[in-house]
Amino acid sequence: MSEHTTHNHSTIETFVIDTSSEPISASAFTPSPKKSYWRVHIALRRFLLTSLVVGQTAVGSFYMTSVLPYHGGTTIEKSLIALFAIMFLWISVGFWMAITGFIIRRFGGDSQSLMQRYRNHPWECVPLAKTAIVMPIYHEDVDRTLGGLSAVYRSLAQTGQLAHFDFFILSDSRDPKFWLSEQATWYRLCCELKAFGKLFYRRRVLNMNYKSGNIADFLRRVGKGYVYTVVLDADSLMAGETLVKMVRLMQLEPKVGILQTNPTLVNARSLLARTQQFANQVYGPLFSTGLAAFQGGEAVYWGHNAIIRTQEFMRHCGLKRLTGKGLFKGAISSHDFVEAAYIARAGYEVWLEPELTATYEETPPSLKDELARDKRWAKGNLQHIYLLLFAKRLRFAHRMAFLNGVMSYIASPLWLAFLILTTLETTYLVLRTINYFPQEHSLFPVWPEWHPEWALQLAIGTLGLLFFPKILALVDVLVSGRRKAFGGFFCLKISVLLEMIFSTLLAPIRMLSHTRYVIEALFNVSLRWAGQNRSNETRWLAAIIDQGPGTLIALAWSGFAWWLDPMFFYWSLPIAIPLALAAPTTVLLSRVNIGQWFKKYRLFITPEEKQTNELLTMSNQPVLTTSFTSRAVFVEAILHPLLNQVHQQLARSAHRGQKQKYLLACCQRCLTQGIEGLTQKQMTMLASHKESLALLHREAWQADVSSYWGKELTRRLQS
Amino acid sequence: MSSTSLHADHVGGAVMALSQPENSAIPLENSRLSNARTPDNIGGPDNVQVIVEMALLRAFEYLHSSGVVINKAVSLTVLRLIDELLSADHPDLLAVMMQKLPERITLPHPQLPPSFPLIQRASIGYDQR
Repeated sequence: MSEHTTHNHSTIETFVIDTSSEPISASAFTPSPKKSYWRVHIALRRFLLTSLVVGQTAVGSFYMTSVLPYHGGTTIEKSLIALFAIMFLWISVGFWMAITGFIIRRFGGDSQSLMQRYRNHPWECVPLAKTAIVMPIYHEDVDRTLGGLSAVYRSLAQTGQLAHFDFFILSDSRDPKFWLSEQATWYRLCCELKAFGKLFYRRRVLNMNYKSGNIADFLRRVGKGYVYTVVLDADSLMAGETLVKMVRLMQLEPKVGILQTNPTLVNARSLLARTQQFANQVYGPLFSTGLAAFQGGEAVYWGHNAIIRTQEFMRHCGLKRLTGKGLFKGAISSHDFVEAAYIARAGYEVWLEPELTATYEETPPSLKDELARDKRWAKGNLQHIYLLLFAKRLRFAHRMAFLNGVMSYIASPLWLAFLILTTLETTYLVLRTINYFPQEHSLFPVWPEWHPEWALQLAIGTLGLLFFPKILALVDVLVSGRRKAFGGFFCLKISVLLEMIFSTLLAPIRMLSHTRYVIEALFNVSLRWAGQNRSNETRWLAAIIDQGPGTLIALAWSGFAWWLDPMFFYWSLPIAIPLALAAPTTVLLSRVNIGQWFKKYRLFITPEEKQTNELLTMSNQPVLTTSFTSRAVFVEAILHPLLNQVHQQLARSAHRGQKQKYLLACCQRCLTQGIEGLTQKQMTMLASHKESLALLHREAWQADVSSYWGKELTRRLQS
Repeated sequence: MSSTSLHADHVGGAVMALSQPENSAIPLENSRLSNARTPDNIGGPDNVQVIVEMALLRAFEYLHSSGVVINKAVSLTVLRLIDELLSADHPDLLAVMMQKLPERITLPHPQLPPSFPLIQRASIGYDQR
């Protein structure tokens, strides 16, 4: 990139990209994709999976029928069997995915995957094409997000292929504390990385349609100039080598519309985050390999750590607002699954490629944050019911993907319903006289039978389906010689055991919360879409307020169970105890010091924690230079001569009439009363108005020593 | 961009630098302005001294933050400007000095990075078949 002329504010976006070093575009390269019969293979695999799952569910449901006292003879029992079958089927799918993943990994990878297809391909011969790397952000930790992006930039520079990539920070931040920091950091990174004309920043004035709207805005403006777009999340990290390989895979396979990587969780510090990170790294490979094996070229897009074929995506993946009622009206909240379905509808393939490594993301530090995220996702996934039912010409696999997403959240109310019906069934059995003729018009009496040992066997069998994949993942780690990377044999085993205990403790808490979110979503309660909290610990009072209702319900339920029948009380304990302990569980799991204590004893250790990872080290270097408070950030924007110019360059201009008068009044107030005299809205208006920024800068430096800005300058000089 | 602010002792150092061959590495204890007054304790007979100190500090901080290297020539120019304004008994020395500073010392025009590439408008398709 060579010449960049500085224009006035209204033409900020008219910088010219130097085309002299324009990389080879996709059209200049004639790919010769390897012939693959993946559709046949995947169809066979899906048939096998369906047979196994349906067969297993039929056996489980039959067993359940025999366990129930009236063997499904009453309405409650029929409902119980139906709910059991749905949930068992759901668990069974996960179980067989893990088994498949294990088998594939033991046999050296999936022969149908893209990476295996080009295992011995001379990668260097594949030319790259112009690629945009975009990071949409919204009120995120600037150090973390832009530090991460800087690490990706440096990593890509190390590959020697930087010329083919441009970076975009796409901000939707509204609070000036965030966006002024983002702008200042962007400028600093441009200088540090010598990334003028390579690293861009844009903040939308109107942040419509969440993240997908932000990306669509980018595509409408400059998408035409890029063959591929890599979408990163605010916490995403990807190594340069991985990015280069992804572009080359896309070049080789022109039918691939989206290539999704399977991000590894990193940078966890709290106990919960470290548990999740460990689970992701130990169990994740099995599940993702299994999932990819059944999805083939009809995988889903997770919205980040993925590469998309830009023009095709733009042509086919516009998200129309939903036209139904309530939840099913308005913008689509969870865009990624839908975009995958739309690009596949246009004839392109979507692949999940677990063999693409060095792709990372972070996990929420506390259960509170995780549940806040789930609340958004629950609404987004439930919206997909509309598309599942009414969208035209979608592939069956993608309708199933929608169903899968819906089930992720619907499973919770179904489980709760199952528990309620179980309580009702027990209540009827204990309190009411035995009904020997539960079925009308039947001449034959039915003697209710209750065999606790059968029920126990069924419960153990179901738990086996849930926990066996974890054991299998442990075996996978051991036989693949990775145990040292996870802290050694003993620590690995203890960690898996502890993770199972923690996940058991968390399951009922998540179930209650998800049920609430599903109900809220179905009744279309407005959701606040905000950035993740990736640092704070949960306080006791907040935990008690959040988890108190669940704890009370659990105690009341257990008390009722004890009164009803002590045996039923014992059955209720695996659910009631975690709910009763929900507040302390939430608080303790969010604690960083406890997480670090476990780390000290090599528990929940992951490979990235044991070995130095250059990308992660680079990403953890701080990029913020001023303290992150509204006051400090705004003062710096006004006083610092260079930053003031940067903010002016990014600001808008030419307000007339009443607005200009109002801005002048705000400037006057700012000069006399300082930041404290401004509301956040006024601060936003001033910081996004070029002339106001210039005026404030000039007047502040000329201020009398006894005035607000005079004192501020003196403080600055003495600091 | 530099995140380092100029301290009071820089000004004292710059003043001393005028009588030294090198203008760097001025020790803190040599600075007579290292205990500069705050605006809260301005008053009385010291007022002129405080204003001059502030003017020097402000000028050097502004120049430094703008990317100007504070050398002997720059320091002399600033001092001369303050001298002129003091001689003229200007009532609003700080403001006038900051107005005149860019006229006396050429501030570097930093090259700012382009915030966004050339717009190439396109639309998003909705696959309406």
